[in-house]
Formats: sequence, structure tokens, C-alpha cells
Amino acid sequence: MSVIGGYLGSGKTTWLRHQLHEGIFKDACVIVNEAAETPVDDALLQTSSRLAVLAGGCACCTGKAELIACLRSICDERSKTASNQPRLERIVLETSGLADPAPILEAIRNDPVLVHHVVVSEVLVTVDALHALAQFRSEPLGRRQVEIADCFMITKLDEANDADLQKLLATLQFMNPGAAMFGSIKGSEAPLPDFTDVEPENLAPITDGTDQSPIFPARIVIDETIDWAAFSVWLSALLYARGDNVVRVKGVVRTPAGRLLVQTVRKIVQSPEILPEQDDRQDREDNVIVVIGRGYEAEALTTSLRYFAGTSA
Amino acid sequence: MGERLRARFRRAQILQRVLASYGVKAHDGGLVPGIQLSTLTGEQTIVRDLAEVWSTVERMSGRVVDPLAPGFVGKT
Repeated sequence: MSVIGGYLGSGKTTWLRHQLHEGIFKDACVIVNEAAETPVDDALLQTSSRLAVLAGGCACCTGKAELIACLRSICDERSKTASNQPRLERIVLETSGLADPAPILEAIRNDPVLVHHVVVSEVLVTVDALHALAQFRSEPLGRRQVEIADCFMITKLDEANDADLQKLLATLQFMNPGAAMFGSIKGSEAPLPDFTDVEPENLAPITDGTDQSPIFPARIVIDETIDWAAFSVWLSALLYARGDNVVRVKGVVRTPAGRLLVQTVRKIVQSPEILPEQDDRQDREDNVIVVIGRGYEAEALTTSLRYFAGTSA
Repeated sequence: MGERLRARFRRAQILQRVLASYGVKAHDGGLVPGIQLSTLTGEQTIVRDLAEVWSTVERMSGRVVDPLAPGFVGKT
């Protein structure tokens, strides 16, 4: 499942509509969630082969039950399809602009049926090149959406001037350095300008009681002295104690059972997935875990993990 | 010995070492599901999984569990 998030009016539907038009996500089931009672987006997305609309409640809060019910019925239907028939292999969820993707992922993880059927493969967040910086200054929600993203789609590139855009890109990289960035104009891919020497915007903390220092990625190498049991005990302790500040953990670990894809979002650990020996993605390194979060030192993670594995000096 | 049982013993071994500083002992005999936790004062309980270990240890020891606390990262 791919989750598409992003602030109100940041271009989620435009981007998705273009992808559908291009034939990407063609066989996927598209779920559109709107916070407003009257749906509009579904009219724009008619080219998709299957479309479900969840109107009248944002899926991360009031509309959560409806989303779960919808996903369950999709899974049910898929289970009833004979294995020699083409089966649904992909769901695309367009969240409402008010949604924080984290509670949605949590809801899927906590559902006894969905946990076995749905794997969230990526969280794509659209970022409005014109308005995003202003939103980050005032909206904790805008920041949360950015922090959880695996991938940014910067929209409305043609409408923003270069200086503002570079500032935005530098700020995004500062806020979530692990995520990939792509640009788009009305849904078509467009190049992003270079922003290597640009200072990120200094975002003042929003005083809602949470720690607002920027998140940063830390790379942890799981060498042969650290076994899977030690890693799993350590990860559960880390998420238990620091789950609010450890925004994302991702990586592939070699275990006796095979190559395991480990993914967490805030306090939720997605059910680990065994990957085939020859993954088509060569860029992924084995036995390296990326921990994205705040409120600790990067070295502390490795030292603490070594302590758990009993290999500390 | 099965892979699964071996993993359980290994997990208990790690917990045993980590929890020592909290005055809590962990034991997994492999016969019944779950992990047995006990304190030096004789309090005993069985928890289902790792997530439950940490909250139970906090309750038993009266201390906050944090793997990034100075004691675990080599600073005192």
C-alpha cells in the first residue's frame, strides 16, 4: 500500500490523477479520503480502475473506523479471488489534507485482519512549493507530515521563484534528511534546482508541549557480533522508551530466517517481512538500519545496542 | 533444539543481562509461553511479549526504562 499525504491543497489529487493518467497505479485500488462531507476528488480520479471514497471524516481520527472497514472489504474480496486470477496487488490511499499519516499506519498495524494483508510500502508527502514554508512556521501538522515521509513530491514548481524553492528544499532536508525528493508541475515530473549552499529556514518551535528540535537520521551497522535476538530486544526497548521521538526506523537485517525488512513508524513496528535473496533494488544495503528521530545522540544508539548484544567494550 | 526455542533462550539471556541493573530477573524455560520476570523481593509475574516486559519492569523496579540512559551508553 502506498500512502499519499500532504497538507490541504498541496496537490495530492493532481499528482495522483496524473499518475493514473500515465498508467501508473493502473491496477491498484485507489482510496480517497476527504475530511469534508461532500467529496470532490473522486470526480477527478475516474480513470482509476477501482476507486473507493471515504467522505465525512479524516481517516486519522473520526473516519478511522470507516477506513479500516473499507480496507477489510478489499482484503476479503482479494482473498476470495482464485490464485490463478489476477489479484489486487496494490492499494493507494490518498489521505485528507488534515491527516497525520502516523495514526493511519498505526490503525492498520493494530487491526487483527489488516496486519496480515496490508504492507505499507511508502509514505509519499506532497509539499506545496508556494505555501509549505508558511505552513511549517505555524502548523505542527505540516511538520508531522514532513517528518514521516519516505519521499517528498514538491508540487507547483512553476509557480514559486527559485530562491524560495531552494530555501524550502534546504528546510525539508533539514527536517527529514532521509527522504528522497522529487519535483512536479501539474503532476508531471520536473527537475529540482540545486540547493547545496542554501541555509534552511530557522523554524521556531511551535509551543504545543512537544520537543521540536529537528529530526536526524542515524545509520547503525548491524555487524556479525549483533544477533537478531539482541536487536529485537533493543528495538522494543528503544521504541518503548523513545517512541514519541523515534519517528522512523527502517532497514534490512539478516536473520536465520532470511533477509528481514524492518520498519517502524513512531511506536508501531510493522510486521517484519522476509525479502527474497536477490532484491531487485540494489541500492539497499543489508544489515544497516536507519533510525530517524530526535532527542538523543547518534552514537548513543550504537553503544546502547552493543550493550544489549553483550559486545560493548 | 529448534530455531524458535533457541531464539527464546537467547532473548531471555539478553533480558537477564539488561534487566540486572533494574533488580529484575528474566527467565524463559521454553515450556510455557511468555517470559517470567521476578524481583529480589520475590514478586513474580509472566508477561506475554517484549512490549509488556518494559512496562512491567518499570512497575516492578519503580524506575523508568530507557535504553539510551547513561548506564547503557557507557556514561555514568
